[in-house]
Amino acid sequence: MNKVSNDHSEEWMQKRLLVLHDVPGRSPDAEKTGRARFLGEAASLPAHSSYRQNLWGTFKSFVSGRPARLAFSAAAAVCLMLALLLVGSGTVVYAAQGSQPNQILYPVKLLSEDVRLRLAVNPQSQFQLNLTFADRRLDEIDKLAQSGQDPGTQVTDRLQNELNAALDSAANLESEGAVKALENMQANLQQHEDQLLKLQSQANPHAAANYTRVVEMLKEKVSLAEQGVKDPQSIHQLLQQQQKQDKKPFEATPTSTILVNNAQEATGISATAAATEPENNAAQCSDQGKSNNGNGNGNGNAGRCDEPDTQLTSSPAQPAATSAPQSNNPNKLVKTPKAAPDKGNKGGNGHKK
Amino acid sequence: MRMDSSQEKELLDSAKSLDSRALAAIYDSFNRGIYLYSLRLLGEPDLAEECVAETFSRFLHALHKGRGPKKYLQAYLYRIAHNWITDSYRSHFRLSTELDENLADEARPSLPQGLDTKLEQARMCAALRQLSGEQRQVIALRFLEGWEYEDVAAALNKPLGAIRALQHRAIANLRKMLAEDEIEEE
Repeated sequence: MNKVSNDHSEEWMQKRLLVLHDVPGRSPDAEKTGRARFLGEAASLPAHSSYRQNLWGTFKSFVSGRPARLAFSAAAAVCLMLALLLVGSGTVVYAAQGSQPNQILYPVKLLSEDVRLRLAVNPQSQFQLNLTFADRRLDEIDKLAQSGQDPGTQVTDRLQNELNAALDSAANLESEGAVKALENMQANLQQHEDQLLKLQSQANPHAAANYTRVVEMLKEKVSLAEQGVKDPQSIHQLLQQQQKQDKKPFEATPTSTILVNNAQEATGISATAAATEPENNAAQCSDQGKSNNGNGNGNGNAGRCDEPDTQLTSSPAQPAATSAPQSNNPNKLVKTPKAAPDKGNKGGNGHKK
Repeated sequence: MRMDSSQEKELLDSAKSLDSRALAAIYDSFNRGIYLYSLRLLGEPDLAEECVAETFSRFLHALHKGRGPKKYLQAYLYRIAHNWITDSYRSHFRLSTELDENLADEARPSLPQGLDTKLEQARMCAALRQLSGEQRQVIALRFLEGWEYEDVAAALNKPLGAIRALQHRAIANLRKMLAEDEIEEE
Protein backbone atom coordinates (compact mmCIF):
# COMPACT_ATOMS: atom_id res chain seq x y z
CA MET A 1 0.00 0.00 0.00
CA ASN A 2 2.78 2.33 0.97
CA LYS A 3 4.72 1.42 -2.14
CA VAL A 4 1.72 2.24 -4.29
CA SER A 5 1.32 5.53 -2.48
CA ASN A 6 5.00 6.31 -3.01
CA ASP A 7 4.80 5.44 -6.66
CA HIS A 8 1.84 7.79 -7.06
CA SER A 9 3.71 10.53 -5.27
CA GLU A 10 6.74 10.08 -7.46
CA GLU A 11 4.63 10.10 -10.60
CA TRP A 12 2.89 13.26 -9.48
CA MET A 13 6.23 14.88 -8.70
CA GLN A 14 7.71 13.94 -12.04
CA LYS A 15 4.73 15.41 -13.85
CA ARG A 16 4.87 18.65 -11.97
CA LEU A 17 8.60 19.01 -12.49
CA LEU A 18 8.46 18.25 -16.19
CA VAL A 19 8.07 21.91 -16.75
CA LEU A 20 11.57 22.47 -15.40
CA HIS A 21 13.15 19.84 -17.60
CA ASP A 22 12.76 21.90 -20.67
CA VAL A 23 15.41 24.51 -20.10
CA PRO A 24 18.02 25.66 -22.62
CA GLY A 25 21.41 23.98 -22.36
CA ARG A 26 24.65 25.78 -21.80
CA SER A 27 25.88 27.75 -24.77
CA PRO A 28 29.10 26.39 -26.33
CA ASP A 29 30.77 29.79 -26.04
CA ALA A 30 30.04 30.03 -22.35
CA GLU A 31 31.27 26.48 -21.88
CA LYS A 32 34.50 27.22 -23.76
CA THR A 33 35.13 30.40 -21.79
CA GLY A 34 34.39 28.69 -18.49
CA ARG A 35 36.67 25.78 -19.31
CA ALA A 36 39.56 28.08 -20.25
CA ARG A 37 39.08 30.07 -17.05
CA PHE A 38 39.01 26.91 -14.93
CA LEU A 39 42.20 25.49 -16.50
CA GLY A 40 43.88 28.90 -16.30
CA GLU A 41 43.07 29.08 -12.59
CA ALA A 42 44.51 25.58 -12.10
CA ALA A 43 47.72 26.56 -13.89
CA SER A 44 48.08 29.74 -11.83
CA LEU A 45 47.98 27.92 -8.49
CA PRO A 46 51.41 27.74 -6.86
CA ALA A 47 52.73 24.22 -7.04
CA HIS A 48 54.37 24.27 -3.60
CA SER A 49 51.09 24.72 -1.79
CA SER A 50 50.00 21.29 -2.86
CA TYR A 51 53.07 19.74 -1.31
CA ARG A 52 51.09 16.96 0.31
CA GLN A 53 49.88 15.62 -3.00
CA ASN A 54 53.20 16.31 -4.64
CA LEU A 55 55.18 14.50 -2.00
CA TRP A 56 52.73 11.64 -2.02
CA GLY A 57 52.71 11.57 -5.83
CA THR A 58 56.49 11.67 -5.88
CA PHE A 59 56.68 8.87 -3.37
CA LYS A 60 54.21 6.81 -5.41
CA SER A 61 56.16 7.53 -8.58
CA PHE A 62 59.34 6.54 -6.79
CA VAL A 63 57.78 3.26 -5.68
CA SER A 64 56.20 2.52 -9.04
CA GLY A 65 59.39 3.40 -10.91
CA ARG A 66 57.82 6.20 -12.91
CA PRO A 67 59.86 9.40 -13.26
CA ALA A 68 58.87 12.26 -11.00
CA ARG A 69 59.70 15.90 -11.19
CA LEU A 70 63.29 16.41 -10.11
CA ALA A 71 62.73 19.13 -7.54
CA PHE A 72 60.14 17.12 -5.67
CA SER A 73 62.19 13.95 -5.96
CA ALA A 74 65.10 15.71 -4.27
CA ALA A 75 62.84 17.19 -1.61
CA ALA A 76 61.22 13.84 -0.97
CA ALA A 77 64.59 12.12 -0.77
CA VAL A 78 65.91 14.68 1.75
CA CYS A 79 62.73 14.41 3.84
CA LEU A 80 62.89 10.64 3.74
CA MET A 81 66.53 10.60 4.82
CA LEU A 82 65.92 13.05 7.63
CA ALA A 83 62.95 11.04 8.82
CA LEU A 84 64.95 7.81 8.75
CA LEU A 85 67.85 9.49 10.52
CA LEU A 86 65.59 10.85 13.26
CA VAL A 87 63.72 7.60 13.72
CA GLY A 88 66.95 5.60 13.63
CA SER A 89 68.73 7.89 16.09
CA GLY A 90 65.76 7.83 18.43
CA THR A 91 65.72 4.05 18.37
CA VAL A 92 69.44 3.82 19.07
CA VAL A 93 69.23 6.31 21.92
CA TYR A 94 66.28 4.44 23.38
CA ALA A 95 68.08 1.13 23.09
CA ALA A 96 71.21 2.63 24.64
CA GLN A 97 69.47 3.58 27.89
CA GLY A 98 69.80 0.06 29.25
CA SER A 99 73.43 -0.41 28.22
CA GLN A 100 76.28 -1.11 30.66
CA PRO A 101 79.80 0.37 30.69
CA ASN A 102 81.33 -2.55 28.84
CA GLN A 103 78.76 -2.41 26.02
CA ILE A 104 78.96 -0.75 22.65
CA LEU A 105 75.97 1.57 23.12
CA TYR A 106 77.21 2.93 26.45
CA PRO A 107 78.78 6.08 24.92
CA VAL A 108 75.42 6.84 23.29
CA LYS A 109 73.78 6.60 26.69
CA LEU A 110 76.28 9.05 28.17
CA LEU A 111 75.86 11.37 25.20
CA SER A 112 72.09 11.40 25.56
CA GLU A 113 72.51 12.24 29.25
CA ASP A 114 74.79 15.15 28.36
CA VAL A 115 72.22 16.45 25.92
CA ARG A 116 69.45 16.22 28.49
CA LEU A 117 71.58 18.05 31.02
CA ARG A 118 72.31 20.82 28.54
CA LEU A 119 68.62 21.23 27.88
CA ALA A 120 67.75 21.49 31.57
CA VAL A 121 67.48 25.16 32.45
CA ASN A 122 66.29 25.45 36.04
CA PRO A 123 68.24 24.27 39.08
CA GLN A 124 65.52 21.85 40.18
CA SER A 125 65.56 19.90 36.92
CA GLN A 126 69.35 20.08 36.78
CA PHE A 127 69.56 18.65 40.27
CA GLN A 128 67.07 15.89 39.48
CA LEU A 129 68.90 14.94 36.31
CA ASN A 130 72.32 14.97 37.95
CA LEU A 131 71.04 12.83 40.78
CA THR A 132 69.27 10.45 38.39
CA PHE A 133 72.40 10.03 36.30
CA ALA A 134 74.60 9.57 39.39
CA ASP A 135 72.12 6.91 40.50
CA ARG A 136 72.55 5.20 37.16
CA ARG A 137 76.34 5.21 37.56
CA LEU A 138 76.05 3.74 41.02
CA ASP A 139 73.68 1.05 39.75
CA GLU A 140 76.14 0.27 37.00
CA ILE A 141 78.95 0.04 39.54
CA ASP A 142 76.81 -2.21 41.74
CA LYS A 143 76.15 -4.53 38.81
CA LEU A 144 79.81 -4.60 37.88
CA ALA A 145 80.72 -5.38 41.46
CA GLN A 146 78.21 -8.23 41.53
CA SER A 147 79.81 -9.72 38.46
CA GLY A 148 83.32 -9.14 39.85
CA GLN A 149 84.27 -6.61 37.16
CA ASP A 150 86.29 -3.41 37.43
CA PRO A 151 84.17 -0.26 37.04
CA GLY A 152 87.11 1.57 35.49
CA THR A 153 87.95 5.23 35.81
CA GLN A 154 85.54 6.36 33.10
CA VAL A 155 82.53 5.49 35.21
CA THR A 156 84.00 6.60 38.53
CA ASP A 157 85.21 9.93 37.12
CA ARG A 158 81.82 10.58 35.64
CA LEU A 159 80.15 9.64 38.90
CA GLN A 160 82.33 12.14 40.72
CA ASN A 161 81.38 14.90 38.27
CA GLU A 162 77.69 14.07 38.46
CA LEU A 163 77.67 14.05 42.24
CA ASN A 164 79.50 17.38 42.35
CA ALA A 165 77.06 18.83 39.81
CA ALA A 166 74.10 17.51 41.83
CA LEU A 167 75.45 19.13 44.99
CA ASP A 168 76.11 22.35 43.14
CA SER A 169 72.65 22.51 41.60
CA ALA A 170 71.05 21.57 44.94
CA ALA A 171 72.80 24.55 46.52
CA ASN A 172 71.24 26.76 43.84
CA LEU A 173 67.73 25.83 44.90
CA GLU A 174 65.77 28.00 47.26
CA SER A 175 66.64 27.30 50.88
CA GLU A 176 63.85 24.85 51.79
CA GLY A 177 64.13 23.00 48.52
CA ALA A 178 67.90 22.83 48.84
CA VAL A 179 67.76 21.33 52.33
CA LYS A 180 65.21 18.75 51.27
CA ALA A 181 67.14 17.87 48.13
CA LEU A 182 70.38 17.50 50.04
CA GLU A 183 68.76 15.35 52.71
CA ASN A 184 67.38 13.06 50.02
CA MET A 185 70.71 12.93 48.32
CA GLN A 186 72.47 12.14 51.56
CA ALA A 187 70.13 9.25 52.32
CA ASN A 188 70.40 7.95 48.78
CA LEU A 189 74.18 8.01 48.76
CA GLN A 190 74.38 6.32 52.14
CA GLN A 191 72.26 3.48 50.78
CA HIS A 192 74.57 3.08 47.83
CA GLU A 193 77.59 3.24 50.11
CA ASP A 194 76.19 0.44 52.27
CA GLN A 195 75.38 -1.63 49.21
CA LEU A 196 78.80 -1.11 47.76
CA LEU A 197 80.55 -1.99 50.99
CA LYS A 198 78.71 -5.31 50.96
CA LEU A 199 79.62 -5.95 47.35
CA GLN A 200 83.20 -4.83 47.70
CA SER A 201 84.20 -8.16 49.16
CA GLN A 202 82.99 -9.94 46.01
CA ALA A 203 84.99 -7.70 43.71
CA ASN A 204 88.00 -8.75 41.76
CA PRO A 205 91.17 -7.90 43.76
CA HIS A 206 92.41 -5.84 40.82
CA ALA A 207 89.21 -3.83 40.90
CA ALA A 208 89.23 -3.41 44.68
CA ALA A 209 91.13 -0.13 44.50
CA ASN A 210 88.48 1.44 42.29
CA TYR A 211 85.70 0.29 44.60
CA THR A 212 87.53 1.75 47.56
CA ARG A 213 87.79 5.02 45.70
CA VAL A 214 84.07 4.98 45.00
CA VAL A 215 83.27 4.30 48.64
CA GLU A 216 85.56 7.15 49.71
CA MET A 217 83.94 9.37 47.17
CA LEU A 218 80.49 8.57 48.50
CA LYS A 219 81.65 9.35 52.02
CA GLU A 220 82.90 12.72 50.88
CA LYS A 221 79.67 13.55 49.12
CA VAL A 222 77.58 12.42 52.07
CA SER A 223 79.64 14.68 54.24
CA LEU A 224 79.22 17.56 51.82
CA ALA A 225 75.48 17.01 51.59
CA GLU A 226 75.38 16.94 55.37
CA GLN A 227 77.04 20.31 55.58
CA GLY A 228 74.81 21.60 52.82
CA VAL A 229 71.76 20.72 54.89
CA LYS A 230 73.00 23.16 57.50
CA ASP A 231 74.15 25.81 55.09
CA PRO A 232 73.45 25.14 51.42
CA GLN A 233 75.52 28.08 50.27
CA SER A 234 78.69 26.62 51.77
CA ILE A 235 78.61 23.86 49.17
CA HIS A 236 79.89 26.05 46.35
CA GLN A 237 83.01 26.96 48.27
CA LEU A 238 83.59 23.44 49.52
CA LEU A 239 83.29 22.10 46.00
CA GLN A 240 85.77 24.65 44.71
CA GLN A 241 88.14 23.69 47.43
CA GLN A 242 87.66 20.05 46.67
CA GLN A 243 88.30 20.60 42.99
CA LYS A 244 91.62 22.17 43.83
CA GLN A 245 92.49 19.13 45.86
CA ASP A 246 91.13 16.81 43.20
CA LYS A 247 93.69 17.77 40.62
CA LYS A 248 94.92 14.34 41.56
CA PRO A 249 91.55 12.67 41.28
CA PHE A 250 90.29 10.35 43.95
CA GLU A 251 93.13 10.99 46.35
CA ALA A 252 90.54 10.48 48.93
CA THR A 253 92.56 11.01 52.06
CA PRO A 254 93.41 14.70 51.81
CA THR A 255 90.01 15.54 50.36
CA SER A 256 88.30 13.65 53.11
CA THR A 257 90.39 15.40 55.70
CA ILE A 258 89.44 18.77 54.36
CA LEU A 259 85.80 17.84 54.17
CA VAL A 260 85.80 16.38 57.63
CA ASN A 261 87.44 19.48 59.00
CA ASN A 262 84.91 21.61 57.24
CA ALA A 263 82.15 19.47 58.60
CA GLN A 264 83.48 20.01 62.06
CA GLU A 265 83.46 23.73 61.52
CA ALA A 266 79.95 23.73 60.31
CA THR A 267 78.52 21.41 62.89
CA GLY A 268 80.71 21.97 65.89
CA ILE A 269 81.28 18.24 66.11
CA SER A 270 84.82 17.21 66.81
CA ALA A 271 86.66 14.04 66.15
CA THR A 272 83.87 11.69 65.16
CA ALA A 273 84.30 12.93 61.64
CA ALA A 274 88.06 12.64 61.56
CA ALA A 275 88.14 9.84 59.08
CA THR A 276 91.80 10.08 58.40
CA GLU A 277 92.94 10.66 61.94
CA PRO A 278 93.93 7.84 64.23
CA GLU A 279 91.27 6.45 66.46
CA ASN A 280 92.94 7.69 69.58
CA ASN A 281 92.79 11.25 68.34
CA ALA A 282 89.16 10.84 67.65
CA ALA A 283 88.66 9.44 71.11
CA GLN A 284 90.60 12.26 72.69
CA CYS A 285 88.69 14.84 70.84
CA SER A 286 85.46 13.19 71.66
CA ASP A 287 86.39 13.12 75.29
CA GLN A 288 87.41 16.72 75.10
CA GLY A 289 84.14 17.59 73.53
CA LYS A 290 82.31 15.77 76.27
CA SER A 291 84.27 17.50 78.94
CA ASN A 292 83.55 20.83 77.35
CA ASN A 293 80.01 19.93 77.09
CA GLY A 294 80.07 18.80 80.60
CA ASN A 295 81.29 22.01 82.07
CA GLY A 296 79.07 24.01 79.81
CA ASN A 297 81.88 26.29 78.85
CA GLY A 298 81.95 25.70 75.15
CA ASN A 299 85.39 27.23 74.91
CA GLY A 300 87.21 24.03 75.36
CA ASN A 301 90.68 23.57 74.06
CA ALA A 302 90.66 21.99 70.66
CA GLY A 303 94.21 20.97 71.06
CA ARG A 304 95.65 19.12 68.14
CA CYS A 305 92.45 17.48 67.07
CA ASP A 306 91.66 20.16 64.64
CA GLU A 307 93.72 22.65 62.74
CA PRO A 308 91.03 24.71 61.17
CA ASP A 309 91.41 25.58 57.55
CA THR A 310 91.93 29.28 57.53
CA GLN A 311 90.11 29.57 54.24
CA LEU A 312 86.97 28.48 55.91
CA THR A 313 87.02 30.79 58.89
CA SER A 314 85.08 33.31 56.89
CA SER A 315 83.26 30.76 54.82
CA PRO A 316 79.48 30.52 54.55
CA ALA A 317 79.75 27.58 56.90
CA GLN A 318 80.45 29.98 59.67
CA PRO A 319 76.88 30.98 60.51
CA ALA A 320 76.01 27.42 61.31
CA ALA A 321 78.94 27.19 63.69
CA THR A 322 78.32 30.54 65.27
CA SER A 323 74.74 29.66 65.84
CA ALA A 324 75.95 27.97 69.00
CA PRO A 325 76.10 30.76 71.52
CA GLN A 326 78.59 28.97 73.72
CA SER A 327 81.24 28.80 71.05
CA ASN A 328 83.18 31.99 70.58
CA ASN A 329 85.53 30.41 68.12
CA PRO A 330 83.74 28.24 65.61
CA ASN A 331 86.98 26.79 64.34
CA LYS A 332 87.78 25.18 67.62
CA LEU A 333 87.07 21.55 68.21
CA VAL A 334 84.17 21.81 70.52
CA LYS A 335 80.94 20.04 70.84
CA THR A 336 78.32 22.39 72.06
CA PRO A 337 74.93 21.16 73.15
CA LYS A 338 72.96 23.23 70.64
CA ALA A 339 75.41 23.20 67.80
CA ALA A 340 75.82 19.48 67.70
CA PRO A 341 72.48 18.02 66.70
CA ASP A 342 71.98 14.33 66.22
CA LYS A 343 72.13 14.76 62.48
CA GLY A 344 75.70 15.95 62.77
CA ASN A 345 76.69 12.97 64.84
CA LYS A 346 74.98 10.63 62.47
CA GLY A 347 76.84 12.13 59.58
CA GLY A 348 80.10 11.93 61.41
CA ASN A 349 79.54 8.30 62.17
CA GLY A 350 78.72 7.73 58.58
CA HIS A 351 82.40 7.99 57.80
CA LYS A 352 83.16 5.17 60.09
CA LYS A 353 81.03 2.73 58.18
CA MET B 1 27.41 12.19 -18.39
CA ARG B 2 27.97 9.39 -15.91
CA MET B 3 31.22 7.52 -15.52
CA ASP B 4 31.93 4.29 -13.67
CA SER B 5 33.67 4.31 -10.34
CA SER B 6 37.04 3.06 -11.62
CA GLN B 7 37.14 5.78 -14.29
CA GLU B 8 36.14 8.34 -11.72
CA LYS B 9 38.83 7.21 -9.29
CA GLU B 10 41.53 7.29 -11.94
CA LEU B 11 40.48 10.77 -12.96
CA LEU B 12 40.48 11.95 -9.36
CA ASP B 13 43.94 10.55 -8.68
CA SER B 14 45.32 12.49 -11.62
CA ALA B 15 43.35 15.61 -10.72
CA LYS B 16 44.88 15.63 -7.22
CA SER B 17 48.23 16.48 -8.75
CA LEU B 18 46.44 19.26 -10.72
CA ASP B 19 46.99 17.43 -13.98
CA SER B 20 45.43 19.67 -16.66
CA ARG B 21 44.18 16.78 -18.78
CA ALA B 22 42.35 15.23 -15.86
CA LEU B 23 40.91 18.59 -14.83
CA ALA B 24 39.74 19.25 -18.37
CA ALA B 25 38.11 15.82 -18.54
CA ILE B 26 36.28 16.45 -15.28
CA TYR B 27 35.09 19.84 -16.48
CA ASP B 28 33.88 18.41 -19.78
CA SER B 29 32.03 15.61 -18.00
CA PHE B 30 30.12 17.63 -15.48
CA ASN B 31 29.84 21.30 -16.48
CA ARG B 32 26.67 20.94 -18.55
CA GLY B 33 24.86 18.87 -15.95
CA ILE B 34 25.70 21.32 -13.22
CA TYR B 35 24.65 24.21 -15.41
CA LEU B 36 21.22 22.64 -16.06
CA TYR B 37 20.82 21.71 -12.43
CA SER B 38 21.49 25.25 -11.29
CA LEU B 39 19.44 26.83 -14.05
CA ARG B 40 16.44 24.70 -13.09
CA LEU B 41 16.72 25.72 -9.49
CA LEU B 42 17.78 29.32 -9.98
CA GLY B 43 15.96 30.15 -13.17
CA GLU B 44 18.63 32.61 -14.35
CA PRO B 45 21.32 31.67 -16.90
CA ASP B 46 23.74 34.24 -15.50
CA LEU B 47 23.39 32.86 -12.00
CA ALA B 48 23.70 29.32 -13.38
CA GLU B 49 26.95 30.31 -15.13
CA GLU B 50 28.21 31.82 -11.91
CA CYS B 51 27.27 28.65 -10.08
CA VAL B 52 29.23 26.47 -12.52
CA ALA B 53 32.31 28.69 -12.33
CA GLU B 54 32.21 28.80 -8.53
CA THR B 55 31.63 25.05 -8.21
CA PHE B 56 34.70 24.17 -10.26
CA SER B 57 36.79 26.86 -8.60
CA ARG B 58 35.96 25.51 -5.12
CA PHE B 59 36.70 21.98 -6.31
CA LEU B 60 40.08 23.13 -7.64
CA HIS B 61 41.05 24.87 -4.41
CA ALA B 62 40.03 21.85 -2.39
CA LEU B 63 42.35 19.70 -4.50
CA HIS B 64 45.12 22.24 -4.13
CA LYS B 65 44.84 22.11 -0.34
CA GLY B 66 45.03 18.33 -0.39
CA ARG B 67 41.33 17.84 0.31
CA GLY B 68 38.59 17.04 -2.14
CA PRO B 69 36.72 13.81 -2.75
CA LYS B 70 38.25 10.34 -2.66
CA LYS B 71 35.25 8.97 -4.57
CA TYR B 72 31.76 10.06 -5.65
CA LEU B 73 33.14 12.94 -7.67
CA GLN B 74 29.78 13.72 -9.24
CA ALA B 75 28.06 13.79 -5.87
CA TYR B 76 30.80 16.04 -4.53
CA LEU B 77 30.44 18.55 -7.38
CA TYR B 78 26.64 18.66 -7.11
CA ARG B 79 26.94 19.17 -3.37
CA ILE B 80 29.14 22.21 -3.92
CA ALA B 81 26.71 23.51 -6.55
CA HIS B 82 23.76 22.95 -4.28
CA ASN B 83 25.41 24.80 -1.40
CA TRP B 84 26.10 27.69 -3.71
CA ILE B 85 22.48 27.69 -4.89
CA THR B 86 21.23 27.70 -1.31
CA ASP B 87 23.46 30.67 -0.51
CA SER B 88 22.26 32.32 -3.66
CA TYR B 89 18.62 31.89 -2.62
CA ARG B 90 19.40 33.72 0.59
CA SER B 91 20.96 36.65 -1.16
CA HIS B 92 18.95 36.85 -4.41
CA PHE B 93 15.42 35.80 -3.61
CA ARG B 94 12.86 36.63 -1.03
CA LEU B 95 11.62 33.49 0.67
CA SER B 96 8.03 34.37 0.33
CA THR B 97 5.21 31.88 0.54
CA GLU B 98 3.22 33.96 -1.87
CA LEU B 99 3.92 33.59 -5.53
CA ASP B 100 4.43 36.97 -7.04
CA GLU B 101 3.53 36.84 -10.67
CA ASN B 102 5.88 39.67 -11.48
CA LEU B 103 8.73 37.54 -10.16
CA ALA B 104 8.38 35.28 -13.16
CA ASP B 105 9.09 38.06 -15.60
CA GLU B 106 11.75 39.79 -13.54
CA ALA B 107 13.66 36.80 -12.32
CA ARG B 108 13.50 34.63 -15.39
CA PRO B 109 13.50 36.85 -18.41
CA SER B 110 15.31 34.48 -20.68
CA LEU B 111 13.01 31.48 -20.66
CA PRO B 112 11.66 31.27 -24.16
CA GLN B 113 8.49 29.26 -23.61
CA GLY B 114 4.95 30.49 -23.65
CA LEU B 115 3.44 32.40 -20.79
CA ASP B 116 1.67 29.43 -19.21
CA THR B 117 4.83 27.42 -19.17
CA LYS B 118 6.74 30.40 -17.77
CA LEU B 119 4.20 30.83 -15.03
CA GLU B 120 4.31 27.15 -14.21
CA GLN B 121 8.10 27.18 -14.11
CA ALA B 122 8.06 30.21 -11.84
CA ARG B 123 5.52 28.55 -9.58
CA MET B 124 7.62 25.37 -9.31
CA CYS B 125 10.83 27.31 -8.68
CA ALA B 126 9.15 29.33 -5.97
CA ALA B 127 7.76 26.19 -4.36
CA LEU B 128 11.14 24.48 -4.47
CA ARG B 129 12.76 27.49 -2.85
CA GLN B 130 10.48 27.12 0.12
CA LEU B 131 11.65 23.60 0.83
CA SER B 132 14.51 23.02 3.21
CA GLY B 133 17.94 22.75 1.56
CA GLU B 134 18.12 18.99 1.89
CA GLN B 135 14.53 18.40 0.72
CA ARG B 136 15.14 20.59 -2.30
CA GLN B 137 18.38 18.78 -3.07
CA VAL B 138 16.68 15.38 -2.92
CA ILE B 139 13.83 16.46 -5.18
CA ALA B 140 16.17 18.13 -7.69
CA LEU B 141 18.58 15.20 -7.89
CA ARG B 142 15.87 12.57 -7.99
CA PHE B 143 13.35 14.17 -10.38
CA LEU B 144 15.32 16.75 -12.33
CA GLU B 145 18.61 14.90 -12.66
CA GLY B 146 17.14 11.38 -12.51
CA TRP B 147 19.57 10.06 -9.90
CA GLU B 148 19.03 6.82 -8.00
CA TYR B 149 18.52 6.86 -4.25
CA GLU B 150 22.05 5.51 -3.71
CA ASP B 151 23.63 8.39 -5.62
CA VAL B 152 21.57 10.97 -3.76
CA ALA B 153 22.56 9.33 -0.48
CA ALA B 154 26.22 9.67 -1.47
CA ALA B 155 25.76 13.31 -2.42
CA LEU B 156 24.10 14.17 0.88
CA ASN B 157 26.23 11.83 3.01
CA LYS B 158 23.08 10.28 4.45
CA PRO B 159 21.67 6.76 4.67
CA LEU B 160 19.10 5.58 2.13
CA GLY B 161 16.26 5.62 4.66
CA ALA B 162 16.91 9.26 5.43
CA ILE B 163 16.81 10.13 1.73
CA ARG B 164 13.47 8.33 1.31
CA ALA B 165 12.08 10.18 4.31
CA LEU B 166 13.35 13.53 2.99
CA GLN B 167 11.75 12.85 -0.39
CA HIS B 168 8.45 11.87 1.22
CA ARG B 169 8.29 15.04 3.31
CA ALA B 170 9.42 17.21 0.38
CA ILE B 171 6.67 15.88 -1.91
CA ALA B 172 4.08 16.32 0.82
CA ASN B 173 5.18 19.93 1.33
CA LEU B 174 5.15 20.64 -2.39
CA ARG B 175 1.68 19.14 -2.78
CA LYS B 176 0.42 21.36 -0.03
CA MET B 177 2.09 24.51 -1.36
CA LEU B 178 1.00 23.97 -4.94
CA ALA B 179 -2.55 23.10 -3.88
CA GLU B 180 -2.77 26.34 -1.89
CA ASP B 181 -1.55 28.29 -4.92
CA GLU B 182 -4.14 26.70 -7.12
CA ILE B 183 -6.95 27.46 -4.65
CA GLU B 184 -5.81 31.08 -4.46
CA GLU B 185 -5.78 31.36 -8.25
CA GLU B 186 -9.31 29.99 -8.48
